[in-house]
Amino acid sequence: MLSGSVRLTRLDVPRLDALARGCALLASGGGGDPSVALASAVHAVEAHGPVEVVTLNDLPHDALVLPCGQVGSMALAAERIWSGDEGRALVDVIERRCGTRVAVLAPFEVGGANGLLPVTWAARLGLPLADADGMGRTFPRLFQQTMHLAGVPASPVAVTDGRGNTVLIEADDDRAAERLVRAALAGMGGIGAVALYSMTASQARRAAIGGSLSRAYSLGRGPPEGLELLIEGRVIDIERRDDARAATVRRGARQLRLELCGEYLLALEDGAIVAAVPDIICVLAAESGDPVSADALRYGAEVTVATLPAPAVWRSGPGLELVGPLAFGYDHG
Amino acid sequence: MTMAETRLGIELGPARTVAVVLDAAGRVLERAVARNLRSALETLPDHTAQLTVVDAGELATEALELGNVARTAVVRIGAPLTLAVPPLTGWPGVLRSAVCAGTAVVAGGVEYDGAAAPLDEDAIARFLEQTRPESVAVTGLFAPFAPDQELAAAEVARRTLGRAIPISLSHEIGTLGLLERENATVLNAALTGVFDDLADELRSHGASPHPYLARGDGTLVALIPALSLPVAAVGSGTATALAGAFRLTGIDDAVVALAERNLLVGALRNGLAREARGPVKIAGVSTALRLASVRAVSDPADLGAVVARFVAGRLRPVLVAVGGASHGLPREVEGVAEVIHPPSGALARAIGAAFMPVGGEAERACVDREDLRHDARRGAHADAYERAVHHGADPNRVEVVDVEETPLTALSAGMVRIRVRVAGPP
Repeated sequence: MLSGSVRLTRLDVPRLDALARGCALLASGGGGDPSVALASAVHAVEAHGPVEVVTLNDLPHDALVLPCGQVGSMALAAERIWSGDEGRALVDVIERRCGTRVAVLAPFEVGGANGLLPVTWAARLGLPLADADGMGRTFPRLFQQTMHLAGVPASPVAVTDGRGNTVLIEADDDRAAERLVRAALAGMGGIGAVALYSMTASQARRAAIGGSLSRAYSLGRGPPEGLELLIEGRVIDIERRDDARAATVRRGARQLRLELCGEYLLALEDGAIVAAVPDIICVLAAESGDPVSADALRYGAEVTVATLPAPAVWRSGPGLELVGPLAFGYDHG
Repeated sequence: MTMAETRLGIELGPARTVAVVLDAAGRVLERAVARNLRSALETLPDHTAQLTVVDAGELATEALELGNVARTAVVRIGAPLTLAVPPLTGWPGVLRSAVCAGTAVVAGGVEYDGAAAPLDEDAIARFLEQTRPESVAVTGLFAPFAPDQELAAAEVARRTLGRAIPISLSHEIGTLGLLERENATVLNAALTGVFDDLADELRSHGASPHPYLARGDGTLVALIPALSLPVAAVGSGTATALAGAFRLTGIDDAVVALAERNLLVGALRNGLAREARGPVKIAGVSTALRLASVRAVSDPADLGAVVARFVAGRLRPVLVAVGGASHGLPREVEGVAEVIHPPSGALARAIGAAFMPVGGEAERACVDREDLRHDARRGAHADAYERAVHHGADPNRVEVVDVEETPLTALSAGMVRIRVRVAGPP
């Protein structure tokens, strides 16, 4: 862990703000706006009390860990606000299927809204949260998780629409699970609450990224530490082709080109890559210091661009194959 | 210059009322500065003008500050969805107590693709029966795409509380983003009646038969539709000041300092107000209203520093000083190329208001396919046009200002949201 980082043991209302800011930083510009998830977490913690945060090592070997969050169109998330009972529906489905009680929830994705959403569900269920996740940031695909690398299957996957409709998916492999989840979402309001990669604590200790919530909280509670500055400048151009976009940030004679598609994926200067997925690229508004999401980046904006290192597991050969530039269609990685 | 081509611009408060009569080119023919609207109009030798525009947002801001608001029943349609964040979450306690007659989240709501859950009309009727509010705010899940359930809820409200009960429906006020749209809808309901006295005064002083009000988004709306959309007037003072600064100087990328009781800084881009990104707070409440991006300057000595932060990186902008207290602003400001004090700068709001266009906007969602996008664009354009005409635009001179297409990503059948803005002269 970086210097200045602290271990998060308990999430009360004052700590949620810092967590939300850290989750936004780790989102690399994706993951959806955490503000609704933050409001929901604050409401749940006020009503049900603080949520305990435990490390994977604190858990008995056979304790069932349930990674969860939302998946689908983040553009709908600000409208289609959750009931708050999705955690109960997901836990019920998984417990019935596995015949074991769920001991602890975890975010499957610490970046963006998904770093906060399990707080609401844990508070309402009276369950602790594991200080871990499967991405260490945000990725667009459900199988882009360290559990997938470690051979833990995504299935059984539970999906609910927040209206009492649930789907249990038993997929042959994780990519099929992803396809089936997306197919289910089309009939479930376009955005679903999902639980997947359920595993025992001993599996999680080797398969998940430990310390994710602590990292987010540490980044968010003060001026963020460990960011490597790339440029402070102004967005002078935005190109759009299909889903992907590119933005150019200029300061004096220097120009930094950002490639984005849901997330900030690459930063190039004079044609050379200076930062690339899986490393996290943060774009901050110059005036406020708030993270600017890839969808919200606009022509003329004054920004600071910086990077944070990805968790080491993503720098391995199989890690880069799953989430490196090539996995996003960039062959100059 | 014939009388038919004159315009009367009026700015209300905070400290004074300004009325100016302008010719078609924007030259000031007459001016009056007085304590209130009545004496301002009485001071003008002849205030008969073809077009009257009032910048009256101050009345709405003041009503919210004083808690001088209608007790409002807050109805949200969408349960069990949305219960994780209850209505009025994050509102300042004092305003909440003044506004809220009660909240209810009832079963119903629509999905992005139009699939609807049945609306619990009985629950709405029971809730309104118990609360007996002065005003009702209704916000339905995905109502900007499918307003039917909001319209049905309004019918229930009229059945329960009488035909005269004021009702604010979220699809008429905001876009996707439930909480911010709901907040703006509740503020709108709470501001019911805030312009009634103004309307009476304008009628009795016969300024012109069809007055318009300025909105915070830099457009105008005729008085009659404005009475049911009071929240849109919030922030009109900044919008008119920016429009006036452009009108008076022709500088389309200036930074504008508005000096009245407080000192505010805003900026022009291509002659239009630079808009705030993301939610803007009104009386401490987060809303999605389209307002100019502004910064307050607490100490005039900091003006240069605030301008520098506000336009970070831009080389030495031009600063235009406007507003009733603008004569007190310095002639030179650190980091600014030039400070311009235009003649009539003290009247900028009234002048800006008189020449703003009338606007309308609408949105649709559709599957991301060229032919369907085309249909959705046409549909949204037709709706936006209809709104602009309803707001008082000249039906023959409405033009498209902006078309925005946002992909609703990560759906297996890709959807796109299309938003069209139009504007035309009154």
